[in-house]
Amino acid sequence: MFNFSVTPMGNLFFGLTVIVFVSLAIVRFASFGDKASDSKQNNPFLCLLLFTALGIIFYASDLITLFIGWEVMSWSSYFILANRAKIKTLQKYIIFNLGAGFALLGAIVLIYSFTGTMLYEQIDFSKVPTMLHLPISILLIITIFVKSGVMPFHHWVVDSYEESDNLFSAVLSAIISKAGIFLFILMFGQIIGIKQNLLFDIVAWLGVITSVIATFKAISQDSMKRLLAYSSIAQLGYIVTILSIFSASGVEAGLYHTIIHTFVKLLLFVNIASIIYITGKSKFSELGGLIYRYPLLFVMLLIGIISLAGVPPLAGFNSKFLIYTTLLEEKKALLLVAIMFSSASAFLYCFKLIYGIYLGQVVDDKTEHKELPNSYYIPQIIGSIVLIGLGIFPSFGTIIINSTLTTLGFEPTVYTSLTELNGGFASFNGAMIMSIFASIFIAVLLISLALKNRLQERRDRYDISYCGETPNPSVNLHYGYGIGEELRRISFIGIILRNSSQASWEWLATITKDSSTVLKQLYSLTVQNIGVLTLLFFTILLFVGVK
Amino acid sequence: MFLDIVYMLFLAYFFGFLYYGLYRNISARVHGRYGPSLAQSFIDSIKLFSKENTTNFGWMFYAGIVFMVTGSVMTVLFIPYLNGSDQLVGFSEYGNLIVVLYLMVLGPLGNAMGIGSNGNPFGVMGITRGLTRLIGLELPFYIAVVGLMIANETADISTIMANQSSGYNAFAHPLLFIGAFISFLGFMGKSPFDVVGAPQEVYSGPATEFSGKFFGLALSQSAIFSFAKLLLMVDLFLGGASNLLELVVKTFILFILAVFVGNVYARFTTVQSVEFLIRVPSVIALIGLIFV
Repeated sequence: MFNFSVTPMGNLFFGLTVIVFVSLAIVRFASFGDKASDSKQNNPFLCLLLFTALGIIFYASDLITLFIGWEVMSWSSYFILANRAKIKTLQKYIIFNLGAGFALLGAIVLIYSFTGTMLYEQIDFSKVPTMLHLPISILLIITIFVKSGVMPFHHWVVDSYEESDNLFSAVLSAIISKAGIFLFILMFGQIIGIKQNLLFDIVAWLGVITSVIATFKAISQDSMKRLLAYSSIAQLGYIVTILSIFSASGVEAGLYHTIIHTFVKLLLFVNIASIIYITGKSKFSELGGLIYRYPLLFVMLLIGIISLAGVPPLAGFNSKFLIYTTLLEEKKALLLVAIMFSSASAFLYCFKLIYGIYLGQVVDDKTEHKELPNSYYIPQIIGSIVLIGLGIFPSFGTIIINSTLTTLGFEPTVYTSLTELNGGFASFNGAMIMSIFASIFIAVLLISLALKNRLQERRDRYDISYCGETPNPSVNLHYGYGIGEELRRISFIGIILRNSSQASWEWLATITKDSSTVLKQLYSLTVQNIGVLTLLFFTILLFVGVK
Repeated sequence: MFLDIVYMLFLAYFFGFLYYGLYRNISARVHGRYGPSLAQSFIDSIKLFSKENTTNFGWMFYAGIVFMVTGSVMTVLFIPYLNGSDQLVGFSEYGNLIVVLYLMVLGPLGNAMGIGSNGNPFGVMGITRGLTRLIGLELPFYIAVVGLMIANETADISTIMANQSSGYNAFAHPLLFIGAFISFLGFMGKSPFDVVGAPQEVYSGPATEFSGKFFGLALSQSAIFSFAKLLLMVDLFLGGASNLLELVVKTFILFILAVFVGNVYARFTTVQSVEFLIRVPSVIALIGLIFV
């Protein structure tokens, strides 16, 4: 009945799942007994069920097992969400995810009815009539887009990420969104076999448009978790774009970015969870100036955002580099420019994230801070070590990905050494860049320390240059919420920020509601309706008869 | 290797400040003043290093500035100075154009961290303006660079430089060059895109809290960094240089063009500069990309 097989790709995705779940479980178990956070704890059994569901998805070897895993995943996360989220958020979540489930089921039924088997290995997709290839692909793409939050199917993502438990947001962003990516590679790489056609050009462009729009939306958020939610949408947009190229280097870049994004978001969400735990606040306009109280948390977040921005010498650059070289190789100049544009705009939200929380002036110094349990550092340390380590040994990621590439029938990437990342079009040496960076940094630091070093101590936090005046305590000196305000006045970005595709979904809802009202009137058997139906029946008969 | 690097840095520092002095002089003549002597910017830079009494804003402020200098120095060391020479190459064999494009933002990001930590809202306003302007600046530059990489089928700067023996990229791909040049004006912090620093008039901008050796370091890195940008433009679009004299001539031509444009045009606001950069140079460069 249930068929499972151990595949390299399953190992890769499940490995990421295990790391995320175990590290978050440590955080959770260590804070047991804390009454304040216990009251709305996630149910551990539901979390275990979710974990199992992910295992089923990643190791399934027939379509129906995959579908069962998919549904269990959606439902268990629904019940975990239901613990905290508002009813409207839950409705959005369940409607989109049920829709995705039906789409997946539809595609599976279509594939089964023509190939006569559910087992991945035995499916011969050429038996499916050509005219059905497109509908099946579209159904699958809808499923993938909903789970990964690609626009216009992203509406459930932001609210769910924001309202769920702080640690569960990390699971949603780091792992659950990757289930869509897994399905993409499984279905189009292994079972259906991708053909470069208009559909995948559209998918690639939807990915890029998603990343550009989500980046600007992220910049304009005041809530930390909403900012990270939009950032997740943007990053998943890159992955979808690069996967729809579906060459060996495209899949490599997509999987590499999947790995990096998992660790970056694990680190960032747990970091923000720590700040919310300590201060009880989740908005940039209420936070600020925490760097000197929590320097370690600051450094972790710094590592996270440098990787998120994709700046060398950390690992975030590796996957960006592979994405760029793949697009250069395929000569997709416009896609490349759009991705580079979106990732250059991302610097702004990365800066907002770190400035709004840790830098600038303290907005509210009256609230008492809770002491952070040490367990909160564990996922962040894991993330930091991986991001620094992959920055030095970028080819280590390639080694992990190569076995998946082989099973998908691609030539594995050639690598010369652990430290050199070969992108085909170009390559770079991670260890060299890291050591050059470190040595120049130390040299500059030593030189500046050798220069006259007597620094006047700062008397208080209002001791700043302020147009020749001294600011009084009533002046808000923290600019955290203001970053990104200017963007609203730039015409083409303003249009993106003001509008939302939610209106079109609401329109769809209204249409559905109206048409179902009409339908309902037809099948509720009143005398009037029977009359109308009889009339309709005879009219049809009349037309048929005339013919 | 070590001497090579020191020599590269010295050249970048020297020409960076020489050009800065020239810029002050030329602008002064345009305004009808005499302006400071050419040596003044060197004197300023050395004098600042020996000043004390800079306010202590904590370790991140310190680290941010060191970060910024590191970013600029790394950028200049990853760009080969000369065409087909094995001298003055620095670390360029370990990187490529994509690495250089990202190293160019390493310094500004470090700078942003440092300035963020001093608690002055005016400094952060400058940073926000800078990062917002970057959205506009990068687009035409990226289009041009992507066009060049696709046309040359490589991301290696020295190969792109060597491929121009039969004709400069500036003439082979004129529209890409125009797009990149307008961006380059912004990268150089010249008018009309100089709202970030907003010299003289506005009391805001990244340098608000800098004094003493920190200001000295900031000035030196900006001299080195502006030479790096000149170098990158010469390598990519003007065929590089086979000797030092040619390099000086070519960078000087680019620099003087930037100064002239800067002296003619009034300053854009941040919003205006992003809109202009996206409407005009990006479209020009996009049309250029079609011909690649």
